[in-house]
Amino acid sequence: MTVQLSNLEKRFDDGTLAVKKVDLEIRGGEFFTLLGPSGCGKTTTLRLIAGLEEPTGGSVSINGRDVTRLDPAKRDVAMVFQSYALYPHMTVFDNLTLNLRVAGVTKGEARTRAHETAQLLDIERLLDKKPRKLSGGERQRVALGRAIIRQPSVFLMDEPLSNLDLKLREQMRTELKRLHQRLGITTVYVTHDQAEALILSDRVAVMRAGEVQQVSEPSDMYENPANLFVAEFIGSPGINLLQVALTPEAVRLGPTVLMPWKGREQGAAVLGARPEDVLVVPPEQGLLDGIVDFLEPSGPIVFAFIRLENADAVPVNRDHVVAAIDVHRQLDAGERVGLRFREQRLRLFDPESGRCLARPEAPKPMQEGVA
Amino acid sequence: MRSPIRRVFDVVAVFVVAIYLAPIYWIGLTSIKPTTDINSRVPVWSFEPTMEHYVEAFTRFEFGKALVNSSVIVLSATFITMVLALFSAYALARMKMRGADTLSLLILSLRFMPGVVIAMPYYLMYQRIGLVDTHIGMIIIYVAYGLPFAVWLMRGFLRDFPAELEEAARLDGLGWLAIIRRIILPLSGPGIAVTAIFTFVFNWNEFLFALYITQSAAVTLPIQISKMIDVYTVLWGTISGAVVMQLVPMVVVVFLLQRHMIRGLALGAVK
Ligand SMILES: Nc1ncnc2c1ncn2[C@@H]1O[C@H](COP(=O)(O)OP(=O)(O)OP(=O)(O)O)[C@@H](O)[C@H]1O
Ligand SMILES: [Mg+2]
Repeated sequence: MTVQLSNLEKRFDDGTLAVKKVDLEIRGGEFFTLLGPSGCGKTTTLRLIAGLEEPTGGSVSINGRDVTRLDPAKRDVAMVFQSYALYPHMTVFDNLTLNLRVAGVTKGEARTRAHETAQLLDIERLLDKKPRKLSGGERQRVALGRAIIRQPSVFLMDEPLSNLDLKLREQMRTELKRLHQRLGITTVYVTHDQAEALILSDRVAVMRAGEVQQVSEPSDMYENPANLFVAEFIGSPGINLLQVALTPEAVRLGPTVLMPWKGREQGAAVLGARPEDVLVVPPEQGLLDGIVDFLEPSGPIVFAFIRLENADAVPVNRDHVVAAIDVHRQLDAGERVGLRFREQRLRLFDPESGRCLARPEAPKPMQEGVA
Repeated sequence: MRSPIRRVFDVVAVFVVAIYLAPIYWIGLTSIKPTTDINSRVPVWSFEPTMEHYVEAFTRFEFGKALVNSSVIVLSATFITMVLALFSAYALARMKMRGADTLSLLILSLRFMPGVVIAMPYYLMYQRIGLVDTHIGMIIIYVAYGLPFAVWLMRGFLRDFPAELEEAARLDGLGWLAIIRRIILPLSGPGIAVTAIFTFVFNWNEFLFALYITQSAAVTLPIQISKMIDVYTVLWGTISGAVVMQLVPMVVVVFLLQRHMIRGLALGAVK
C-alpha cells in the first residue's frame, strides 16, 4: 500500500507553519522514516496522514485513493502513539480487540486474533492485566499489538521507542525490524534518533522546519548528504566541517592544498569529512598538524578528538576534528599527530545555501532526492 | 518525630474541624433532647434521649412527603444536568471553534445572576402554563440554573483528558458518542463526581426558587423545615430532627462519590 503526500501543508490556527509543501511518495511495504530535530513537523506530518489533523493545503493519498478529507477510521491506518495511549480502564485483551469488535468481528474471531497477536509479541500472559500493571516495554508491545491486530494498510509510529531505556530500545528496534519483515506492512516511522532511522528504514526523509531536506536510503543519506544540515544531522559523532577555499585547481586550507578541484565554484566553501575518513598519521606525513586532546573509546573503534595546530584551520562546528581509529592502534592523549583525508569521500558545501557542491570527478551524481 | 511546626498545624486543623462540627453536633444533640431540656436556660448535657421530634416531623409536618419530593426533584435534576453538562462540556472542550473560551465564560456568567431576579418571572410564567407547585417545574428550574456551573466545571476536567486516548479511539473506529460512552465516561470519575456533588448539594439545599414555586404538592425539604417556625414558636427539636434527616442523604452522596474521586485520580497512570 503506497502513501502519497502532494504539496502537503499545515498551518495551525495560531499561525505556526508546521509542514511546508511536503511531497513524499512512500512505496508499498516500505519502512519509511521521517527524521529530524524536535519541532520540525514530523508528528504533524504523521497526524496528517492519519487524518487527526486537517491539512491547510495539498493532499494525502493512500494506495492511490485521495483520503485528504476522509475520517481517520476510514483510512485503514493504525497508529502507535508516543505515549502508547492504551485505554487504562480496559484489560490488554480489550485494548487489543476493541477495534475488531467495533468493526463487527465476532467474539471468537477476535479472541483467536488476540492470541495470535499476543503470541507474536510475547505478551500472552498479560492479556488479563490492565495497562497500569505493565512495565514500559510491555505497554509498548501492547500498543504495537493494538496496531498489528487490525492488519491495516499502513502503520504509523510516532517515536514509539523513545520512552524505553537503552537496552530495551535496542531490543525493540530489532523486534520492529523483524515484525516489519514478517508482516510487510507499509510503515511510516517518526524519530529524532538518526541511528534508529538508519538501522530500521528502507528509506529516510530528513525534515527541517517543516520542509523535507532529502529522501534517501540510509547508506546514501550517510554517504551523500544533500546539504550541510543533513550532513551534520546524520552520523555520530557528527561529520567534521572545515572552512576551506576553492581555487581554480585545488581545495586549500590556508596555504595547504588538501586535494585537487575541477569544479566551477570558487571561493569559500565548507569541507565535510566523516570521522572514519580522517586518517591519523605520523606528524611528518600529515597535511594538517594536530594534538590529540582526548579519546572516546566506543567498542571496536576509538574516537580521537584532535585539536588542529594550523593557524588557518577553522573547524566550523566544534573545537576538534574527530577521527575514528582502530581500538588496537596505540594513541595517547597529548600526542602530536598528522592528519590526512580519504579524498574520494570528502564532500564540499556552499557556505551560504549549505548545498552540497557537485564534484565533476565523482562518478555519479549525488543529489538524488533533494527537495 | 513530628516537628513543632507540624504540631501547631495539627492543633489548628483540629480546631477548624471542631468549629465546623460543633453546630452539627449540637443540632444532633438537640434532635434527641426532650423539649423541656432544649428550652432550659443552662445547656443540659445529660438527658433521656427521645425520638419524639422525629415522629413529630413526620406526623405533623408531612416530612415524608417533602423527603420524597426533594429526592425526586433533586435526583432527576442532577441526573439531567449531568448528562447535558457532559455533552455540552465535551463540545466546548474539544471542538475547534473560535470563541469557545468566551462562550464558556458567557455560559458561566449566567450563573452570576442573582436567583431572586429570575424567581418571580419563573413564577409568572409557570402560573400561565400550570407548572406552579409541580415536580417538573422545579426540575426545569434546577437544571436551567445548575447547568452553567456544571458545564464550566466539566469542561475544565475534559480539557485535561489526554487527547491521544481519544485519537486512539477514533483510529480504532469509535464515533464520538462511543468515545464519550466507552472511553471518556469510564475515565472521568473525578470530574463527574465533583460536578455531581456540587449540583446535588446545591439543589438539595436550594430554598429561594422552591419558596416561590412550591406550596404543597411539590414542597421540598428546606421549605418544609422553614414551616416549623411560625409566628409564635420555634420548634427547635423538630427543626433539629428535620435538619439531621436533611443532612444524612447529602453526607451519604458525598461519601459515595468521594470514593470515585480518589479512584479516578489513578488516571494519571496513563503514561
Ligand atoms: N496544535 C498545535 N497548534 C499550534 N502549533 C503546533 C501544534 N502542534 C504542533 N505545533 C507546532 O508545529 C511545529 C511542529 O510540531 P511537531 O509536533 O510536528 O514537531 P515534531 O517534529 O514532532 O517534534 P518532536 O520531535 O519534538 O516531537 C512545532 O513548532 C510545534 O510547536
Ligand atoms: Mg513529535
